[in-house]
Amino acid sequence: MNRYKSDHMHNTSIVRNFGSVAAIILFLISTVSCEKTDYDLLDPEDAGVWTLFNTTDGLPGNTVSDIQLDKRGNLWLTFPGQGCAKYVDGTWTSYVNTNSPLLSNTVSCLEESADGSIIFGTSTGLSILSTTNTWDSYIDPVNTMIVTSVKVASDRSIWVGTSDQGFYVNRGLGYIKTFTEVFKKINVIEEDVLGNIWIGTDNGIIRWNGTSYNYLSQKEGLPDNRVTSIRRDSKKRLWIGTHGGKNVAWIDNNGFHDLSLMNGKDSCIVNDIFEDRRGNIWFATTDDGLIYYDGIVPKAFRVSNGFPENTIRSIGEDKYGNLWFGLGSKGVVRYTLPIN
Amino acid sequence: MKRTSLIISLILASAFVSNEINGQKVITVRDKYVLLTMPYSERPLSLYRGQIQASAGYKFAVRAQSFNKEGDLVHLKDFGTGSVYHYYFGEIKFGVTDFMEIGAVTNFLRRGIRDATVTVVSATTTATERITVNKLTESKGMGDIFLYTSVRLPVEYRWFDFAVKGGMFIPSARYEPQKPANTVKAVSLASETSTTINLHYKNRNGYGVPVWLAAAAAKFTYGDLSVVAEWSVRDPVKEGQNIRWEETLAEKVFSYYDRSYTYLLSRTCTIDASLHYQATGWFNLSLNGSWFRSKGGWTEYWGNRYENPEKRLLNLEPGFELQISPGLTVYQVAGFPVSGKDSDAPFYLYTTISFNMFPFLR
Repeated sequence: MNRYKSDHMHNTSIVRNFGSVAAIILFLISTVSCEKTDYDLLDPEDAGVWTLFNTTDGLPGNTVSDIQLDKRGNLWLTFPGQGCAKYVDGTWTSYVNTNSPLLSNTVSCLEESADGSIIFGTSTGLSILSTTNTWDSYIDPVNTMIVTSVKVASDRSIWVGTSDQGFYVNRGLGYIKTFTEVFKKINVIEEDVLGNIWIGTDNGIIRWNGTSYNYLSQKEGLPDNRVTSIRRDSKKRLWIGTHGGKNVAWIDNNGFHDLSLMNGKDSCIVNDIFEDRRGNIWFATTDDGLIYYDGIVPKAFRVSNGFPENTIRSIGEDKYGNLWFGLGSKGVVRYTLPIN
Repeated sequence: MKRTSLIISLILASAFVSNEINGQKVITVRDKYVLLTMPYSERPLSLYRGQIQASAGYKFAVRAQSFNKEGDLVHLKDFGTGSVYHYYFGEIKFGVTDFMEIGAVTNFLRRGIRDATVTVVSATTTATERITVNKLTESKGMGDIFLYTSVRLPVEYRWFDFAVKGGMFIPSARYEPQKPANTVKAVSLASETSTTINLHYKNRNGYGVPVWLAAAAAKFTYGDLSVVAEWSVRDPVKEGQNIRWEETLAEKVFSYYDRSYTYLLSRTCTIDASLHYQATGWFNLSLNGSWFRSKGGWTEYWGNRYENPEKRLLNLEPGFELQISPGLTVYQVAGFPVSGKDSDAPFYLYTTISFNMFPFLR
């Protein structure tokens, strides 16, 4: 009996020791084995975050008329009255006519040319910053060239729209002006997947198919004749926003389609349209906030639900896929796409 | 005499060595009945030689709550996203020797998560538009096949046992999501347009890539009490590729587009520690603490790679094992979530029926 007790106690002690050792080993193994080498990854906590930048953060102004990403990953913003700025990895660099040969501080738009130069559309003509940081410019010798839009087409031709002088085209031999009184005010220029150039004016759309022009108006299906924004998306659709139309329109192989922005009004002013990497379409509006369309139903970000301002003038994207929204008077908002 | 003693000593030594090499000691009475009716507290961690065990299980889980990133409990009912899921599994394993077994496991999952209905209304002076969106995300399908081998200590089980297990999940499941089956219904009455959109996303089951698993288990018995500790880790062999569906609605017709993305599964670690009480020879009560953690890996979203969020979950699982007949055993477990991070926290009932036999043993 004593012997049994002794063996039994001995066994119990062994069990206890074994148990302790095994528990410690298991804990160490599990702690080490559950760790995994981290790659150069983005933090999911950053996704879905809105960040506001304004003059206190180094912006030259709080009104942003255009946002473009160049091939080198620089994000360019234009500020009517305050020149333009470049944003690279958290640092803003401003360009105005006092620290650079910029023609005017009233910069309304910009575009990267085929050779990597940045073309700025100003209130007096075009200012061009080359990749070697040298400046050039183009001014209409006859008329004041108040540039409203610039588009570099896939054939490297440069299309320039103005506020009252029609549009200019440079196919490598200099700028040639096309002026018609009815279509003198150009708001936006875009190219579709077939290489056609779409020119949005205050009297509908002029479409250049490579050999001739034709015209689209409300009669053909536009929501309004004052076309303020045109954007091609990855699904080969062309989105059209107007000043005053109730809906936005999009064109595909089946023709015109309407999309109500559900803004509770009979009209809407669409300043810019943009497709994010996820395929959502974003609409920058005057007074109706920022509206995004996920393919099913449009939803709005407004002051009433926490957005800084109800007027958004421009939309762009940085090299990381973050969206940038240029506001009417309060700076620019960066938005990292949510991951869910 | 010396020579005789030497021969006897050598014979005895060889017997001892032979016994060690041959592994588990031979049980005095080794018939099917004895082996099949062995209480849990006396069983080793793997099957006996020649034993076949076929098991089928069903898990019913009520997903009424989850743990958020901060580890706080969130009641999904408040967000209208509560759901249930049904998980079926089947396993067959075979004792190759008294200390090695091989097995195969697969499963079938069926689950639907219905989001809260969202209604957007736009009323103007001339017209009213109303869009109602219902969303159902379904996951359904066969899982991957897990093939494994388990090896235990090559000695007869008395009060301590130790086993290691290694295996691979073979990507046999069709893991790519099916094209959504969305529907739209619009009604126009005078100046009012009402549109109901039913979104139906159809996910499948499985990892999409081979995943290896390594595990170890130890068992200690003292009288009618047993303590079992198990640890496992699983990790993908390589990066995977999958698709996401996008859709656009135009004039009551959906157009669908798929976009591919890459991913690397997280490393998953589990630890189970259970206490068993052998109430009678045919009834065993248990209380298990099951801890799970997944960390590392990434998922590509729209051109960027985001680190997979760390997930943790601790469940408390009371249960029992009931031997109905020598060949038939029922296991019943209930799972209660205790703590976690960024993880669903369902309550579940897990029932398993296990059929054991020795087809080559009389």
